[in-house]
Amino acid sequence: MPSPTSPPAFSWRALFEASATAVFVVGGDRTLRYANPAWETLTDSDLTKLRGTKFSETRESASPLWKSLAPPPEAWVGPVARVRRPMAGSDDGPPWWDVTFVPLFAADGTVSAVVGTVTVVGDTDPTPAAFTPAAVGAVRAATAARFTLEVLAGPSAVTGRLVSQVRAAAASTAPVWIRGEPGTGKETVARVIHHTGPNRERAFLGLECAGLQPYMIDGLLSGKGGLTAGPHVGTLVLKNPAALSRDVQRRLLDWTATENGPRLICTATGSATEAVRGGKLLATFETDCSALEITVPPLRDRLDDLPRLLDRLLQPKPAVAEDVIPALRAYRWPGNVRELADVLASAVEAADGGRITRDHLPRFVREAFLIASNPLPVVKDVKLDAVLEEVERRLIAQAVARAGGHLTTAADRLGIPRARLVRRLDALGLTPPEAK
Amino acid sequence: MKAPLLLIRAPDDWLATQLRDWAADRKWVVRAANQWGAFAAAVAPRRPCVAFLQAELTSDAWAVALADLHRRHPDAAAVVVSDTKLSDDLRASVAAAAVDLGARFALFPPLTRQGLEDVASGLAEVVLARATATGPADAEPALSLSEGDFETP
Repeated sequence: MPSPTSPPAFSWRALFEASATAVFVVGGDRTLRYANPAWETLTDSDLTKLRGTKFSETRESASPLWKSLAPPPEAWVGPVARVRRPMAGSDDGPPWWDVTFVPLFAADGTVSAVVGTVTVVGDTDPTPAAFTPAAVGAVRAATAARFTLEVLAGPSAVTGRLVSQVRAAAASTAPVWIRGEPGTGKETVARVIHHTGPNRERAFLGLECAGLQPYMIDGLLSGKGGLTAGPHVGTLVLKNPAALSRDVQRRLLDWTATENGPRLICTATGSATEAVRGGKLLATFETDCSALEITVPPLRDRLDDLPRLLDRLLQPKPAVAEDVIPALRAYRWPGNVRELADVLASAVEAADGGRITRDHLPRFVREAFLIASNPLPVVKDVKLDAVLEEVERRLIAQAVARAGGHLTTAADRLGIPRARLVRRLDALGLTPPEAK
Repeated sequence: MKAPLLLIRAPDDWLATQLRDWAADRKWVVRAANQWGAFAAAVAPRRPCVAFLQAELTSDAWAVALADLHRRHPDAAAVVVSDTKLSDDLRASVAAAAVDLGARFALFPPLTRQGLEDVASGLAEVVLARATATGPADAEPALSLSEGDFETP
């Protein structure tokens, strides 16, 4: 019982009960502990009947309500998580439920509970009315809903690190430099940062710096009815900004520095430092964007994510035979996720709507699997000089024989001068044919 | 790589006429989509594509088609074109909606053949580079020998 001198206890329950924001609490045992009346109204549910109900481990097996409200895995380990999902009972939005999950940490550092708040978006006023034609707002909300952290998540360690970095980036409006090999999904990462970040109600602008001429960029941004005129753009993504002329780089940086300017995200295969040292990029990019650099790992470094990527890229997902994943794992994926999407598209075509098996994969993928399945025997103590000499001996003998003993022709076919061929014949102890 | 595709969805053939010579010079396949619903389906996987959509702003069909194209073929470069004279504010709103839905560019009156061709050329360069871009994992040995190279003559 509080002493007469202590301040009155804070009535947190009354605060939540009076709130118009739907609030609920999920305990560490994944059961519903508390929900306020606004939540009951929103979900058309009775807390007394649902208290203690357990959230399923996977969203796929959950009831419609829990499917919309289940905390994502990252909510149980990290800071605040935010997801946009169709409202309970719907397969698609609008309206959407923007659910924010705030973890409560115990003394030992584990998350003891997660507090969730639900905001409805997309039913009445999905975006500010003055900002876009209302009819298009619903389409934009549906597009935005595709880009959540769940799109990037996967079981591999490098992907976990990527998700953590993206979550941190989405919590601020600081400039970000995203680097990665072609096809790794840099723009997808930029989209997730934008659509889960503070500027998500404004537009995402991805600018192809390598293709567009300066006058075209000026026309889009600062010409009549240009995008710089108002707070239209929330995130400006410069793809390979080093391809821009320096004056355009300067103008874009100036725009991002204005009060209503967009957040700046740059994507490239290399780092800002490399581009600046190469003289192709203003030093400001390095100083402004170096604080938050995200590297998107190549697919060959996150092969454990393949099953999840297949689920995401094959929509609707056909039946996939068990021998497909091992074959995909054996390939090096130089074109990364983009190449994987192409391979899967061709496999779907080859399967003609049926079950996809290894035989439906392109030949180069199957060959990589065959090579990986039948590794070369380990040869110990190879004498490289002897091997190379033998190779040279056979190639020269073959070329001379095919040329009918005509040394000039044989030398041409081998791509070496005739004099060198004669020297090599002598050095290798081959009997030179009668010179022709 | 399949032959690149110039995909056009417009209520008349004015847009296609403006870009026909450009496509012919570069041996690009030109395809016109008659229905909004068939727009994204006209793009084949693994085919570099630049798509022009002439938006009729009285409905959201163009936005739905654009979003569908971006979802199914994120590497296709889409350009939203409007031949309607708009106020500066509405023009900026439409451009913002277009780029938010995945368009790489938005064009408004005055529409010129040169402007259309410049946008097409710039985006063509990007999609072609992207279609062949790979990381370092594809490095091949400089010399490749097969058993046939050692056959006895």
